[in-house]
Amino acid sequence: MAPPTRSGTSFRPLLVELTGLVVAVVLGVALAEAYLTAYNPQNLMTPAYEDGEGMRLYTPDTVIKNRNRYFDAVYTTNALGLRGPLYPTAKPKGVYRIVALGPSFTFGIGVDDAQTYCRLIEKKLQAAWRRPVQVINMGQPGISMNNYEPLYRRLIKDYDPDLLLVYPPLWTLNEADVVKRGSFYGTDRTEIGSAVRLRRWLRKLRRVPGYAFLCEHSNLLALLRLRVATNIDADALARTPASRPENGERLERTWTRTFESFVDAVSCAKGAAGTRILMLRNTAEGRDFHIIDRYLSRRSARGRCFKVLDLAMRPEYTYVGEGHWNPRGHEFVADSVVAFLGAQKAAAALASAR
Amino acid sequence: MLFNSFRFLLFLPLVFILYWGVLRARRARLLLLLLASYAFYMSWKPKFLLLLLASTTLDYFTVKGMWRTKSQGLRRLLLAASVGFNLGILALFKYADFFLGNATALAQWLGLHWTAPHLGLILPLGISFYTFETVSYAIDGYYRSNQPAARMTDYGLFISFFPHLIAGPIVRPRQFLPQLETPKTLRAENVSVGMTLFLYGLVKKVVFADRLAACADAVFAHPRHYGTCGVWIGVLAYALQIYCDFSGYSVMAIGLARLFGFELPVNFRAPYLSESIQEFWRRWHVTLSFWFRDYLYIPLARWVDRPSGVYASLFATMALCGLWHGANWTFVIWGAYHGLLLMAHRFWRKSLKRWRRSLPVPPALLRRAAARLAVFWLVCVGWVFFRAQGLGAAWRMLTRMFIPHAGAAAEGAALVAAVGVAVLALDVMEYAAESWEGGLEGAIAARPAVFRAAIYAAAVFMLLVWAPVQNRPFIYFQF
Repeated sequence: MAPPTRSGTSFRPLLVELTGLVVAVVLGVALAEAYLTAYNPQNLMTPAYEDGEGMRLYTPDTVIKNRNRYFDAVYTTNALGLRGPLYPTAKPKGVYRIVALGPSFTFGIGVDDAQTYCRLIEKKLQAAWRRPVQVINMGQPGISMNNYEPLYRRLIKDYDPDLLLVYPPLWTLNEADVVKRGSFYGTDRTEIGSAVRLRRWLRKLRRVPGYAFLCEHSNLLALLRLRVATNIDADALARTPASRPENGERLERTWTRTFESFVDAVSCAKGAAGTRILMLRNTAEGRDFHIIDRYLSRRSARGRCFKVLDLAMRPEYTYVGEGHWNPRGHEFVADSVVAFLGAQKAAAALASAR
Repeated sequence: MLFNSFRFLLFLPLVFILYWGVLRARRARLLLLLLASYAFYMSWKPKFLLLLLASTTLDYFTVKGMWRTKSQGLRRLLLAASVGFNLGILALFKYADFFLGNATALAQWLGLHWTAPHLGLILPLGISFYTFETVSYAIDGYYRSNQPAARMTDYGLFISFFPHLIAGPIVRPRQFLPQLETPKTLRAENVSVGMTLFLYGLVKKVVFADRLAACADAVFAHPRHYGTCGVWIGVLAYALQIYCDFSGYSVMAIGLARLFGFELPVNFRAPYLSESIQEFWRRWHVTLSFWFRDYLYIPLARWVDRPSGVYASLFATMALCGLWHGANWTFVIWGAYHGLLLMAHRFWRKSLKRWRRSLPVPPALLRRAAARLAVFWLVCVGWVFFRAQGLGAAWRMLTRMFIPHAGAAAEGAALVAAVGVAVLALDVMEYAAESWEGGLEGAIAARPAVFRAAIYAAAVFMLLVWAPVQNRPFIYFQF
């Protein structure tokens, strides 16, 4: 190696520059931390945990504040880690019971407890029908299509619902290839798999005192963790087979088979005329799923226990830049469902009168 | 690998330390940069490196052959082979499905029952940019306007140097190859200028462009839901987004190159402060517009050699410039629209000179402000074609822009206004820096270290607090 003088490098200005950079980074980080703490606090603790079967649940009996630039919402979980009031499994006589199943949209990310479409449907139906109605929100952020059937067998069945209100996330098409693995929440190879692995790794790091302290107190670290996880998700998603157009059809078929298996499981549980499924479909998603659409139309037309309700969500019903439904979106969903059920009930009354 | 990704955050310091701290020999450093650039390119789809290598090898040897042979015929043949191969690859990957789709539509319009096959090829990253560099190398080699690269690794680095590989600036051989011959030393000035420009570009991209994207995307996805005011806000958001996105990338590329002791040409010079559409194209994507000027417009105009031919050349060049941006009629129309504006400007400047003199002259300040506003407004209208998914979508946007419609107001109007003010302030600074000695880079280097540290701290703060949660790729990556 040549000595510095021979290479022509002058080290003093370089040292000054690099020192300035280090000081600036420390100052920038400190200012960011102060700003976030004052104006945009983050979720300091991850409210979700994974149970023994890999299922991600929210911590039971917890009040979670989710505040960011798009919304400022409070989520209250019950003893099961589900959002909303805890109803006893045994259904009281005369109660019409709905179980809502779906991803973060059903859970109600971005809206307060009273603003979720589950609570709104409950309130509106009670007012319209003048009878007790219970809506159990089983929405789980990040849920996959292949989780629906096991969740039904494990939890929903005991609640004996009169109606299953399902919002199946079509984005789980990207995860369809994990169905083969048979795991409950087969996230290891999915778009959220990498983020899950990262979270596990970060959790192990919490044994380090300094890092543990930052986890408890740093808004900036919470935000960075979210960013890293989100971007790892996006990178992984770009590499999934679903991102290749030639695999779209195969994945649509797999998704359809999985969904059909779920519908069959629910229908068989109480007989063809028993528990009904009302599937919510967002027609504004902007993607064409020909195989899924054909299947849903066929099934909806054939069976009395399965219907599809199309929701034309408008841009003003979502948080622009974030994507989840805002209170207006939840209100729209609730109104659509109540109108549909009202019409169904009227039709049923008419049929029985004849 | 994006400049705004976490992986790049690891890649850059590693290459920097190896380049300056471990290796001393000039050739070893250049070889490291070449390998790092190939690794950077392979992080997307490794197989497309073969295409880059094939293009590099062919051009290196054809240009070498052009210099050695005295036969004019052979030189022409070598030029045709090189340009034909590179443009052929670009046409295959970028335009084949576009032309086949149009052929199908034409056949069906004529009543023929024929459907062209759909190839569904993935567009290799950066192919539009490096193809233009290889073509300029071959043409310059044919005219012997600059020396060919001394070694194949030098030429490989010229094409694949990672700061400019994916989305420019489009570098000419005479701008880059001589820099490979000069020994490099680690200078504080290069580090300070490089770091400042990189962070400046990163803030422009991540804080400004990515935050505006949500507003623009929402409006362009569902124009029917928005009223006239909302649609205009969406268009303004996109005008600022694409500028901050691409100029941010270009500034980052220039800053990165400076960190390794290289200088890349400026790509943006406050284009929204232009007083004429001609000036706009001298300030917007400068390296591309100068490429089209030197390798297409001037030869075409010379070939036609008539005043009307100049107008036709102008229009054809801009339509092709539009097509270069993407295989869609919307891009061709965008290019043709700018071609018409340039023709109108030329007609106004050349043919209506006497008539213009008879008009009353408004105060210079008012005239310049009005001209700037008019140019910005015309450019914004053009962005509708550039951004819209199809001609129908562009038409829906334009009708709502020019015929008053009721509807929702776009969310993010305050953000558009805030970013607009910030961009205007930065552009005024860049505009003023053109008259400073050493330009913006000289001004950065001349300031005390404390001043730069304050800029770094502000950039770190903005990136940490105001960056959206999810990274977005650069818009020009798709071209």
